[in-house]
Amino acid sequence: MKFTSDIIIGLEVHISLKTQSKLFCSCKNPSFHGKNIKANENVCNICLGYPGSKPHPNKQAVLFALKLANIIGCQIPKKLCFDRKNYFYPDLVKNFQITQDEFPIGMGGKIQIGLNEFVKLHHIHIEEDPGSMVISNNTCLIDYNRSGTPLIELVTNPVMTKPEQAREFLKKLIIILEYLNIFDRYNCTLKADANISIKETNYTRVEIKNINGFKDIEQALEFEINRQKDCVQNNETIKLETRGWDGTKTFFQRSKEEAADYGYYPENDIPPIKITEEIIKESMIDCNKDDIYYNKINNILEDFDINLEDLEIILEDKNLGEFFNEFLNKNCKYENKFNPQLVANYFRNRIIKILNQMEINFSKLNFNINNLTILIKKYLDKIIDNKINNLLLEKVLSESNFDLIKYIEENDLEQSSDDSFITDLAKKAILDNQIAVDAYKNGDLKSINFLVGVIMKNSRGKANPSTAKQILENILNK
Amino acid sequence: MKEVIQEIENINNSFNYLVETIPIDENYDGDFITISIKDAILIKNSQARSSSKILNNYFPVNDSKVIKNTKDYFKNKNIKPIFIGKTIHDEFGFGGYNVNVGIDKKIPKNPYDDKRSCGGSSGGCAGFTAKTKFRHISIAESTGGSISTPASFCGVYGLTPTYGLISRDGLISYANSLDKIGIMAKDILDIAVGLEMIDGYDLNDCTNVKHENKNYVDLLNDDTKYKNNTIKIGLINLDENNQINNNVKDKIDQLKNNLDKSNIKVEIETVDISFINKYSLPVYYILSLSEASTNLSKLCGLRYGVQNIPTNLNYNDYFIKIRSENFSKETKRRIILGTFARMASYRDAYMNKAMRVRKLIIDKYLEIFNNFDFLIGPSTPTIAPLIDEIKNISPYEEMLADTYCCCPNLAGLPHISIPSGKDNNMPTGMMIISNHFTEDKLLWLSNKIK
Repeated sequence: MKFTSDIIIGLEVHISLKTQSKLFCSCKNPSFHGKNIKANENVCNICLGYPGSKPHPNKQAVLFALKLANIIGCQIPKKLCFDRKNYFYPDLVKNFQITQDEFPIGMGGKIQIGLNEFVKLHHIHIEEDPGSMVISNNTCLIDYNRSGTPLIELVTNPVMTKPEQAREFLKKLIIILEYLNIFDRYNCTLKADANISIKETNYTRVEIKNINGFKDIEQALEFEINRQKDCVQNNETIKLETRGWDGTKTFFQRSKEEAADYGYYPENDIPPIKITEEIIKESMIDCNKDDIYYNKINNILEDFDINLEDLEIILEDKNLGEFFNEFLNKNCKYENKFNPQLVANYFRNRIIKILNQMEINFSKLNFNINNLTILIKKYLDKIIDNKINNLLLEKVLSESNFDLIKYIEENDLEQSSDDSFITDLAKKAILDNQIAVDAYKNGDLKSINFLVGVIMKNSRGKANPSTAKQILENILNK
Repeated sequence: MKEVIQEIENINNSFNYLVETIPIDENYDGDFITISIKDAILIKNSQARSSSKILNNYFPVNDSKVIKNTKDYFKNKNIKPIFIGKTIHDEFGFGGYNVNVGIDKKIPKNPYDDKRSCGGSSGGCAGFTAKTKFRHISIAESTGGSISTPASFCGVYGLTPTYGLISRDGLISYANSLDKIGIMAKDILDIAVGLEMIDGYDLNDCTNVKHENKNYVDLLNDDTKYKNNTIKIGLINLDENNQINNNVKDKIDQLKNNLDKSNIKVEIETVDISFINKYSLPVYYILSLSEASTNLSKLCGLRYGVQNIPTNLNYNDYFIKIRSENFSKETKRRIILGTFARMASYRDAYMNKAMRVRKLIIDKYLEIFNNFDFLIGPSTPTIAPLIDEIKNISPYEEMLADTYCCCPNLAGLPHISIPSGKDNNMPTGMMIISNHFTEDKLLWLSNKIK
């Protein structure tokens, strides 16, 4: 292959699906039900591969894979075929993994990682996850609870040229998967193997295995690029090899000079299943083209003048994005009531900030959404002060039966734009703070903000700061 | 029941047919039918080793589907199924003569001559069926001839149904695109009863084809479907003039007479299946061994079966030790050959080519069944060989035992081996093959031979 870039990166991403049950049996899928199960208690004769047991594929997993394949533009084969990938390992109950070799469920396709930026895929396929191993004190403990859970392996073409691009890819991939409702970042896992080669080594391919998360992928790739460049400078040769990532550095795992031969064989316990138009339609039943992250962003950009980066962040969470979109349509479109960018600022700087502090996903909240609508409007109408807003927003988002209007009334929290009330406070502030007044009169116009702060404090946040500023200016400029 | 228990002990002491016995209620005095089960088929709480040491102490947690179906079948009948035990076979089904016994058991003997083989791999099923004086049905299994060969050598009836008719759930796989659970019995009626009792659509086995159960027993004597048509029979593999073939020819004459008496027209002619004969055996062995080598990889001394823990070996060395010590030589040979045929640099030459030829063989059969209702020929080219002779033949010659019966097995076609007479005082078998899912027709015709 001829490469034009100095750095070539390709990713293989393993995505655990949030189906209810495992891929070939009816045991619970920990990616859906949570991992709070004692070791080796979520198993049966099928996911333990006992002699005599036969696999039967999980329709939901196939529908999830079809939905993804369809949305990212893969070519879908006429038949669903599974193959056995043979290798011996203690976490692999049958010493073969049921996966897809020759006819994966999606060929080609692409993932959008920016408004006009795409990463082309080689293919996606369905496979079963092995169990998990814990090695300590020279002993190996194996937990098969995860054995047989459904994964999608997504393989990109070697088309990325920067570590940040790999990071952006994973970040956007997670968003896309969540939009399709087949993945959830709290219970499901997403692991990447990265293939990297650089010009200096004549594009010798090194694989870094098992990288969790998008921050790590960027760090691991940066580390590896620097390591390889150092090696070249020191006249050391880079060989085809597999490396691990421990969070700070990559380390040698095994040589890849001899390619493994997995002796793939068709999984004859599951005969090829016809992929009909009906089944593809069924997979798309809760999903349409508007449900794609960048299509939503584009739709909003057509109607409203909002910073792209803000939109990308707000729409990361599909439910928050939907609420945002609805708010814009109701309150920013026809009446031209609110500036859409100010609404976006509120979502990004207030709501997302508090959600991050609370460490919770918008869709996981149990709250009254009407409260939130009311609060945003009052804030944008400047009826609620900044500090009070923060206090109220936290209550709105965390208390499901919080009565916002009653609470505002009872605690008298609305700001006043009443001139006489604020004029009194302004006069008092001027009297009490001669130094600031003098500074203002001597040309330090910023010191008026100090006086506004005094008014806010004395009014306990009730005074509208811009009204206060105006009244102060009127008095002081007389 | 005491008599049954005593008989089991006596037969087993002299002929070694059972690897595992199932406790029998000796006070039961109602009607019963005894049932034996090939060791590769799971029955709850009864050790299932597929005749291999490596599965020592594997006690399945569930009944296989055929056992569940059998229990259900007799639920409302005033006859009780008595499961007597698990029958011996070649380790994992790897053999045609049942001399490849993996566990510490003696080689089973032919019921007619204890110096001869009872055939394999389902030799225990055939031998016990032949020997017991009680009404008996044996649940057997065939991958490439493991029902027809022993049935023929032991002089009993052996039905191998269409691939996909009977659920394989609970069958320890040999080659999963070829394995078929079937029935052995002393007469055609019990073959029909046996097929009815194990039949039943099973969602848990994806290769099980959705179907309604047929009343095979009632259909045995029902001529109405066949009255207005001419039955077309093709004769195969009868070129050589020998006693086995002469026995088949005699049976065909009998059959013709009986059809005439029932006013059913029949046309008989010789059919050339040289293409099928030429390629079936190599294709069968390439595919069955490829599949077997992946099916057996799970057996490694972890989780169930034989164990050797604690160990100071690493994983690979542990797996190698367990598999080296507990697989028989024949099993190792088949794993190595099967793995070879799947390897990246050889798969096109062997595995993929064999799959394509298999398709051609199936097409060839279907073309024949456009013009014929049945194909009839000998079940095996020889009578049961002497055990001492088998020990001296090459593995390749041993594979030749399947020459005739691996063909319909490879194509997943239903076929039955029927006792056809004697040659040198040893039983001979005749094989009838019919089209996919026409077991009713196959049994109906078999019933016309008496």
